[in-house]
Amino acid sequence: MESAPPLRIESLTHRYGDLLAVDDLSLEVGAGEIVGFLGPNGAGKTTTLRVCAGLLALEKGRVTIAGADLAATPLLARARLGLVPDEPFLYERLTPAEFLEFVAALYDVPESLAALRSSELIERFELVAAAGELIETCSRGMRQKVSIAAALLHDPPLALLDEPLTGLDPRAVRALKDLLRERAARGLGVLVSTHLLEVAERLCDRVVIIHRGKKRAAGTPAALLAGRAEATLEDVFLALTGDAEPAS
Amino acid sequence: MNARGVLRGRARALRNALFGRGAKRAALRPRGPLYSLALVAVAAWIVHSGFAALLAALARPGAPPAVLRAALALALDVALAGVLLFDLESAVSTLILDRDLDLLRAAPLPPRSILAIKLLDALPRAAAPLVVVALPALIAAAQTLQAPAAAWLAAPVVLALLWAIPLGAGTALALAWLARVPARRVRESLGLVSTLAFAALWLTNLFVLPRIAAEEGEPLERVRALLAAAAPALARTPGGWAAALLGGAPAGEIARSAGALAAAAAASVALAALVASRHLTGVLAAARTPVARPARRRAKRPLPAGSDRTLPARSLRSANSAHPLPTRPARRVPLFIAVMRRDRRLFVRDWTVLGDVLTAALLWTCLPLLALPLRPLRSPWLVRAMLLALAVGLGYEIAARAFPLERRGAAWMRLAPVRARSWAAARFASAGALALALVGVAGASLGLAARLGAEEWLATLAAVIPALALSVTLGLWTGAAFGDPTWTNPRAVLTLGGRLVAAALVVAQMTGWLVLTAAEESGSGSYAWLLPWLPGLAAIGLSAVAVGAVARRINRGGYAIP
Repeated sequence: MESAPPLRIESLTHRYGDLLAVDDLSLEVGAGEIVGFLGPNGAGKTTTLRVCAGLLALEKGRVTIAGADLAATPLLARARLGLVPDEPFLYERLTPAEFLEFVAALYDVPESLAALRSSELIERFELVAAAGELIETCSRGMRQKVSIAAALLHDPPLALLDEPLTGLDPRAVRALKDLLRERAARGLGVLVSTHLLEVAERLCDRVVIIHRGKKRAAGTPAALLAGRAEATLEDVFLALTGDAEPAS
Repeated sequence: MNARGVLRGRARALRNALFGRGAKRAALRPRGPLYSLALVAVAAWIVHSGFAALLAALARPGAPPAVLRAALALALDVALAGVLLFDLESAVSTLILDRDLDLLRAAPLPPRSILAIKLLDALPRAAAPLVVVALPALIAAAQTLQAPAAAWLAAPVVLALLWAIPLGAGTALALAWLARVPARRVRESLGLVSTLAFAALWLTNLFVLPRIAAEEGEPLERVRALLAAAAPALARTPGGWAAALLGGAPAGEIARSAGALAAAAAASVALAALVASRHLTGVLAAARTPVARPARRRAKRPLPAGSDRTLPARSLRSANSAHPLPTRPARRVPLFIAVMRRDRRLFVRDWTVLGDVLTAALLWTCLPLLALPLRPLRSPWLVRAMLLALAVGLGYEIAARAFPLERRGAAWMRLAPVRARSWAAARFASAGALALALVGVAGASLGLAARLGAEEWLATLAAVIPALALSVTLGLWTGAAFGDPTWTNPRAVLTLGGRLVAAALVVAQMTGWLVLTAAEESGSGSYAWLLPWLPGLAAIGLSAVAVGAVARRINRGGYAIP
């Protein structure tokens, strides 16, 4: 368990009927690592994250979350990860504070510790003023902050973030980046899917580029640029995913 | 506006919703819409058969055709009232809350065009009473009256005109009203109107129909006499106009009725267009403005003893340690307590749902009073029947709503490290606690009013508690299997098919419990000793099956998340 990486995906394949969404994908997020998960629309990023989080069935391949096999011990695996989905899963008629209290109970976080972490995350993401208002009255950015706080409340060994910067203001973006770096410094893993290549270049230790469900490249941004004619990560991304968009 | 393009787009959207499109969509496609269509077809067939039998019975030799037309007019007017009371809310929600409205508003379209497009979208969502009641009644009447081919051909047009009258007028009224009240409240307000109308209809039926049935004379003759008396009034309603067209009225009356029907529909749609051109833009803008609604209490909790709120220091401490030690013993909140807390908040804050549940609880309790004019009942039997009706009704009113009330939050059932069986049990505890509280209040009130003795109390509880347990588990299963997480009408949190299944389950349970109670009362036969135990045994067995089905559904992610 101690030596197990936060996330290991081996030969993951997922289909929607005839459409091959993820094709024999393998990747690993090491302890203390922030990995950027890049790919054009429809590349299979969200599907991969949803399979890892247990929202979609694991059809073929193996996923291990901090040593817990998702197929064999799904509850243990789920306890060891936090997911920030592309569209938040919130209860409109709870307040952010009540919602976090509920999520803490789901993850068996002791009340006192949950109160402590909730307060911390609420202040960190500047949700104090909105903490007592119903979520249905919150803006898109506020909801995203609540969703991030809920995913990190139980301090999981692995955080999966699907386009986490959507709707966030610059201060919240900074707060999230700092939080992810702190988590990495504590030896926890982060897999972040994003279209913002500059963010990936600056934030991530490594990036994995997928296209049409297949891994096209993986490595540190510097390693991906080394020996190539392209000058930036964006150029590399465009070169690797330059063929026509899938029809999905 | 390119009307053809719009129509083509809407037809494609409908086709894709029913049959899927593309590999990914087809793989994810829920089968709910097709099942719903099948159930609607079955319900329409039942209405058709029943109405055809009624018309055949009424149409004895020498009976005036006006009586048959009055029966048809009544059925059509009931369908229109159904559209107005129960589907207008869906139509108005479609009109002002649909996701594509921002796209339409940004396009160079006048409000009238937006109204036309959205009314088109509202058609499938607000046509159930016409498809389930009006259409089968029309077909049955046309068959019984041997209507000419022209009448058959005119039927679709007549149905469209009938649909336009309540929807156009209702939309105009709703828009005019929305221009004056906060637009975000529209769903709740229309839902409340629908609930109150439902209650009024229910109570009217409760006190009128049994008395009619209890009167002297042959029942069919009384129905005939009532229809004959109501025929002149019914002939002046939209249903009456349509019935005249299809029911073989004299030529002059057909012309007058056709003109009246067309004029009413045109006036209704014109009124909606006029009000839309004045108010739609403002209403749409207001509908997208969040309403500040403070929570009942701020959920900010005090920090542990000895701690302060200077978060930078706290954050640093947290950053250096993955699991900072709390300063008081770690107390965990059990899942069922967390779920109950959450459900209580969700229920209490959705005042239309809460009002609907309380109204329905009252109506279900009153249901057995229907039988009073027909036969005298002993007080303990009546109390038991009233509580059984309430217990069975609450399974639909509370438990079936449990999953749909979560909307997107239902995804936590798949995300959190909680066993599906634990989820199902927690949902059972949460829904059951609320239902038990209502049954407790009703039981105490009725028991005191009827002056039940201790033994009668225990016998009543022994029958009612198992019925409540079973209805809650069956309600949970119905919600998990047929819940619509995108619901807008609090009376329609299940899909149409789900509502029909739920209604069938309610009828089956009610019949079963009443038969069991009557058998117990008679107390004869070689298995009489088993009867007092049977409710408990049946409830435990069937509830276990239903809870298992709910857990399986959660486990395989069967509940759709929008």
